[in-house]
Amino acid sequence: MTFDGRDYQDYELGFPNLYQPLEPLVGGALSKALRIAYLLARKESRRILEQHDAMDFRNPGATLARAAMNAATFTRVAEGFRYIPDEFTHLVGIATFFIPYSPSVVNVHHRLTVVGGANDISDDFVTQMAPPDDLRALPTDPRQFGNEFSIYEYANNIGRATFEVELSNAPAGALREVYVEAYAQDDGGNTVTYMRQHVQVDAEVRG
Amino acid sequence: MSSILKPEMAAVFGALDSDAIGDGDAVSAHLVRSLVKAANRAASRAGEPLFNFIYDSGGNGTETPAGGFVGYGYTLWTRILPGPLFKKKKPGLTKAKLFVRFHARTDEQLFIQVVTRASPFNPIATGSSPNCIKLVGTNAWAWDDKEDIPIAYEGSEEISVFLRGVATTTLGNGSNGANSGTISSISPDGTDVADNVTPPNWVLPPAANFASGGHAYVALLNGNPIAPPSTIISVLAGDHLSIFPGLPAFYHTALQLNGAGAYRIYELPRWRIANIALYPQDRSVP
Repeated sequence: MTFDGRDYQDYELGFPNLYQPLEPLVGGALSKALRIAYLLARKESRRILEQHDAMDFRNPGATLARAAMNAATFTRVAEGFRYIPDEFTHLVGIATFFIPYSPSVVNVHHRLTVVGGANDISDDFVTQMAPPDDLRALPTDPRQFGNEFSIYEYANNIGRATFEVELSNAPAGALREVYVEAYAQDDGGNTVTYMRQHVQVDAEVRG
Repeated sequence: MSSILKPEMAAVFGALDSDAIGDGDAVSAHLVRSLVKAANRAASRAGEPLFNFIYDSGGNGTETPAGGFVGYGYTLWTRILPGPLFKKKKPGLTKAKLFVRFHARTDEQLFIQVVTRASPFNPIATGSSPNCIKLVGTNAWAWDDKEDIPIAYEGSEEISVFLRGVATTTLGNGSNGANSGTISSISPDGTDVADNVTPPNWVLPPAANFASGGHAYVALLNGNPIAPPSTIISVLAGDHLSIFPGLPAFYHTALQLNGAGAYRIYELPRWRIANIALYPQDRSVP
């Protein structure tokens, strides 16, 4: 069988019938081993960065003051030096965040940067958050007071952003500085406060 | 040879040199078998964690907040980690193990539920549910873990973590006022309750009071609690509380028929988490 991509999503284990004594060909066993090797090489991504704040659910005011993001320009929210293993071709950032306290359309900007040799590589991504349908969507159930993320957001206003860079100017196989920046504005250009995101950056193999 | 219905997996990785399967050469059954066993092992080892979050565990070594990851065990499921978290994983692994390093006061009960694509949110999950762990406090840091939490077969997973507590601790009869007594009247919507029978002398804001932490619950009693507990939202007067949700309608009738009703004020469990981690488990051959 040619290497056409078909059957390469098969992650089942190889059964002994591939090499039992009456099996006339080694092709089945060999291709099974190759399929598994291909899947491992292609699909395994590696997390290289992850940041997440501890929440004090007993004192939401203090949590908001400590963990909220309020910036008018790109500000680093997660960073680190990480070794990016050979063969990886892309870095993918994923942020999960919560939009509070704005009745407007909010644009949350994220940027992932890999510091390379000659030039840094970065990618911007803007997540546009719709305004709440109804201001009464603000959580008013006091049972939620102080105990859940929902106190920091309008109903259904949990955002997620993904952003990625191709490791062209900063090839893998080296220790790299990686950082994620963010800020949020409403459509009037006003800075919007939101709960800090959970940020992770995965290295992936493409192609 | 073992059954052809049962995949074999190598115990350790072996290495085959480049001459092992040469063009036109004979190939031994042992060689081919080694090849598949090694591939099966590669496909089955667990790999990296789905998540592993570490929080401050310093301070005075209790569940008291000190910049740590702390909260109350509300009686309804509440999300304690941002999410859902999107995690890449090795395809084929379908079970995960949860580790929790936690602190709660003695005998306080908490449930943590891990929601994945393979184990949807279950409102009635208990410690015996596959995706839920029951934690019991010892008034000291403790480890607990839960194996075999279902996760999706595919190469990614979306994970949410919820926590729920059981209100079993009666709040002290101390600085906040009385923690039990008799309800003498309630407002039509059931959200204002008064105790005019024995003055409970509830402390009013801005001093610390039953409502200041949002963690005190009123439960109606007929020997045992007879209605879902309600949060104390505010102390309106020394004998007057505002609660949510309001007392159920049947209680109005009961109060009219039987006179005053007993109540008790509970406190929710307090928790602090130093580490919460979810690791995929090795795929096993059934």
